Amino acid sequence: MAATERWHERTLQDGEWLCANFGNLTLVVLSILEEWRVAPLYGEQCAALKDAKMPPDDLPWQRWDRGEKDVKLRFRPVFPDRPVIIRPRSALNLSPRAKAMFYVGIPAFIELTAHSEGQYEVLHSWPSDPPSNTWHGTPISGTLCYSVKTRARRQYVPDDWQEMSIISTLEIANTGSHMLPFERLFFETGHLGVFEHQGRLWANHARIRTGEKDDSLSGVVFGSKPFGEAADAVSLSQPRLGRVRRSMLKEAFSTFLGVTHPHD
Amino acid sequence: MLADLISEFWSSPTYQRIAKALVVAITGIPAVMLISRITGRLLRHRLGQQGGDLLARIVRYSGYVMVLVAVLQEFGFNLAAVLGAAGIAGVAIGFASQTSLSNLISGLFIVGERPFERGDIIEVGTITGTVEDIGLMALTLRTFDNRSVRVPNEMLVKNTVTTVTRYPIRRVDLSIGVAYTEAIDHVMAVLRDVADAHPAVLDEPETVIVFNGFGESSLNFMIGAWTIKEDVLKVKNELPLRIKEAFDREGIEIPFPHRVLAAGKAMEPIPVVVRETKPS
Repeated sequence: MAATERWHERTLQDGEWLCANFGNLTLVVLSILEEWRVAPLYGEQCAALKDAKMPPDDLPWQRWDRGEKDVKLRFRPVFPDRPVIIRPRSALNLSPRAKAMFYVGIPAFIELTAHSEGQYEVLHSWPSDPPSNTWHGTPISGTLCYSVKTRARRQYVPDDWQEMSIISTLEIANTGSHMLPFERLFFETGHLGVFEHQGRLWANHARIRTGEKDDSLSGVVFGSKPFGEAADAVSLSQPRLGRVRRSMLKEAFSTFLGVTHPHD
Repeated sequence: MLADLISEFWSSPTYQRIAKALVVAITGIPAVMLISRITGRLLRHRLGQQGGDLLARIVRYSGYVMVLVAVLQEFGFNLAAVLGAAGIAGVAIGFASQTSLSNLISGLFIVGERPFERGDIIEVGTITGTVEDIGLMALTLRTFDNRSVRVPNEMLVKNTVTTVTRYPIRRVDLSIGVAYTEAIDHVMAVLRDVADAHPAVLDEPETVIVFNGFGESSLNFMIGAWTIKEDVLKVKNELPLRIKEAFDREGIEIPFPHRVLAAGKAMEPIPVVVRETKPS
């Protein structure tokens, strides 16, 4: 199975330009004067391009130098460069020795790689939907994360997520003897790749086991493919921090479940 | 020939002293530098970059003094006599250099306590700036208008010092007043929407919106939006603009007190004088 056309390699001769849509994001790429010029536009900003023969000069251009013969480029969906915080529709208590499956839609970043002196180089990545920032931790220490606007769901409902959301499946197993409250999820996406199945983006399946306390993580197991019927999906992007089978990312996943007390 | 020279060299006490002094200096100085470097590296983890550097400097200077004394002793320098004299002179020097010593000791306290690091923004009295250097005697601050300010260490110990950039996130507080005709819950909802829509305002910790009571001519609110320390200025600048835009859109009035200034006599009725003309 091949990836859809939007992820294929493209060719842009000097003086040519293209406009690529990725949900709410439109990337305008212009190849001119031995430069790649890229303008990210969101929502109604694209109106400026209507019937235009050349993109206007006043777009928010970002520029990269390229070789004289460099004409190739391609787009890739990638996970955000920070961890994300996800919430279920409402708080869920996980019973001891119970397992729960969650579907999470994480807005993809669109990475542009282009030829520079004959070699593919990553130019930049832009969020398909501008994310909002959130803080995981206390006001004294913590991690800056993105906040996912859509809620984690127990079942796959394609209409729930935007076109450029990466559907990530998580199986959480409570191996402890106490009820585990799930109000928010600190989700480190560095070991997840992006796949495509029937035009939708998917991540490889992850299984998390929790111990007695919500921060005593016993392990995260990453599947090599997405879950269920999306298992035959086409791989589009490799994980940012490399592919691993098993992880003991205590730091990354610590206190990944449960209630936070931001004013402590 | 060479044997004669060596023999002459070893038979002369002066040459011997010079040789010993050279050995002390040649081995002592690198040793001091090495010890100072190791000390700095070991203490950097515990006391931070600046603290480690400062104590390494103290170790280095002390070491140089010891090497110098050792070299001078080779030439008959009487350390006991010097120390005796120093005891008497020390009292006089101590009185004279009271402030300097105070600064020095305060510097050591600051290094031990680590209330801030190089690169932090601090407020000392009326001065706000970025810490450029923590010295033995004084701290060097660079103000936002690019002036260098030397603050004696003693002043840092005696006065309140606020480390603005100590924690990774900060709350930006703004006070807003609206007209008495506005619905309080509607105003609070608009304020929350503005904060939620701003990309630099964090979702968590949640923005604090407080109704502060009934003012002289307005209903007063406080909005406290959390942001990362790098974005504080951005939020401080942009949030009031967005609040004003949202209030204009929602038709929420921001009142301001009206005042009529008049002199006492100016408020009295205008005197009218009626004059009768004499019949000709």
